[in-house]
Amino acid sequence: MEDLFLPGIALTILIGIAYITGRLADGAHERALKRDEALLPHQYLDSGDAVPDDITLHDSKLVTGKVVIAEDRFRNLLARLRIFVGGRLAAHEATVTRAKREAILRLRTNAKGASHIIGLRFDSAELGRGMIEVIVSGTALYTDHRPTGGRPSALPDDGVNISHRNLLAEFASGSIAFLLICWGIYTASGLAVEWAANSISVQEEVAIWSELEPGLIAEHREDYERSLPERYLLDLVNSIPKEAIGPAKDYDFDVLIIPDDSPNAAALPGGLMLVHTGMLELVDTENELLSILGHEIGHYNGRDHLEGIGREVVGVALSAMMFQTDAVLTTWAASWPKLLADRDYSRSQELDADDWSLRILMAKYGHVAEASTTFAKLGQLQGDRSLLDYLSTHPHPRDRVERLEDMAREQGLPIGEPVDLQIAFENFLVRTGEIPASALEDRHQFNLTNTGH
Amino acid sequence: MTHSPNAAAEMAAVTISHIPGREITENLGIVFGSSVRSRNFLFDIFAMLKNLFGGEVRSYTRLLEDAQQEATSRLIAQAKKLDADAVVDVHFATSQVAYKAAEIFAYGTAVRLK
Repeated sequence: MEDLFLPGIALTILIGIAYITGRLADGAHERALKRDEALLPHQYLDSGDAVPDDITLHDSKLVTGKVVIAEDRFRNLLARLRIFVGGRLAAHEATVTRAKREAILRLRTNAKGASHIIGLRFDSAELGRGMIEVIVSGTALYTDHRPTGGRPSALPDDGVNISHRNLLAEFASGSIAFLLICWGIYTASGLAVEWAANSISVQEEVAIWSELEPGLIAEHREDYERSLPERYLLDLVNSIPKEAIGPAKDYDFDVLIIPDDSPNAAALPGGLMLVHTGMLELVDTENELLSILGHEIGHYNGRDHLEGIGREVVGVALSAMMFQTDAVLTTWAASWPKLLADRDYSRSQELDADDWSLRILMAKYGHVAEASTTFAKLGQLQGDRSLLDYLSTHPHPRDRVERLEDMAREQGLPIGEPVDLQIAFENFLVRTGEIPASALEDRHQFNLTNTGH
Repeated sequence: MTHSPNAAAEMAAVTISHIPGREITENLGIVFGSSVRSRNFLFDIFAMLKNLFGGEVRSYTRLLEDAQQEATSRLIAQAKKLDADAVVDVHFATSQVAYKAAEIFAYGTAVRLK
């Protein structure tokens, strides 16, 4: 969760500094331009090429004026927000106008003593992003003509070229529009992914996944490749009455135990369930273990594992299309609406999977004891609700405990005696002939979490 | 005075150095109009897809059109502030000031006519 906040805070400070320095630089440039423009003598500026015929020409010279102005990061961000809604980039109008005035000022300084500068041409270069380059060239005419009075032929009032908008207000409205648009895009793409995931059959999924990761498909794994605990877990999954498993009954399930202390389990495409050793240490009864496996089977029923992958892929593709690679802040900002769009969706997936877990427990044992025990333990580990829980993709474990208990009560599901996990595991070993029944007298020799490879 | 085809503009802005049939009496100096615009992200995405297959990117043509119109009308607005009668020797220049945003810049010489 820290990685959600830290880059944003660092970038926000940077942008804040850029806002202040940018405004100071703007003001300083504006004042310098006003001062220097006032110092220049009268000169005729003409974008036409004709030499006036009412003068005596002494000399002529090519003159140029060039300037490159860097945009501050804040203004840059405004432009990036603006491309989402389109329209005028008010913040840039002021800079490009000042850049032109500066270029003309330099041109005129270079044409000191000339009464006319004709054939003016503006050009631009492409030096880098966030930079404004202006090149102006012309022909300075040195004549006996000394224009006095009248208009100084400096640049006229540039007010018409600038939309006077408050940059901070622009930033606020741009940000809100940006976040709303991103949220809409991610929600819509989520729906599209959901539709796509549900239209892929289990067979197609297994076929595709076999191409990508053949090592992670049940039919390619030999029995000896599985550790005893893995075989026990798989036996437990396969002992669930088929009619209790929903659409996921077509999967050829497999279980892989991952040596990781965090209490977690996951559903991979193709029917492979990952269980962390941390999760195995957390559970005490077989019923509790099955509530977790049943929850993962619930995810297979909802095709949530495919949707999760699809959402990630679409998310990466969309951000590649919408943002520049160096647009760190916009990409970071867009992760929030994505998080919110994913969160609501993911939470409903979790609750659906909980429902399946309850159903599977009931089918296997005839009662739903220990259905919520793991969540109660996780709730204790997680502690009190905090702001972060609001953003979490999973509902708070305590809410899930309450929900499961309410559901069991409403449906009148009985609570029976749970099966101790150690005993269940040892019974499995004896039943499959891995150990003789007499070996069980030395208790806890065969532990679910340390009999691995 | 000859009328510009752009009714809203009212004032003539031409790319040649005179207004046909009129005489220039005074050169009021250079005027310019600039417009910095972007299309919204949907058009950007369409444009990127178009980039795969080739062909005219209408949404960006439209962007240039809008920007050019705004630049011209700002050029004329500036000329009006100088009490000019027309803008001659109008040229256009473009630059990319920000990602996916275009600047169209119009400049010309404001003149008084007889």
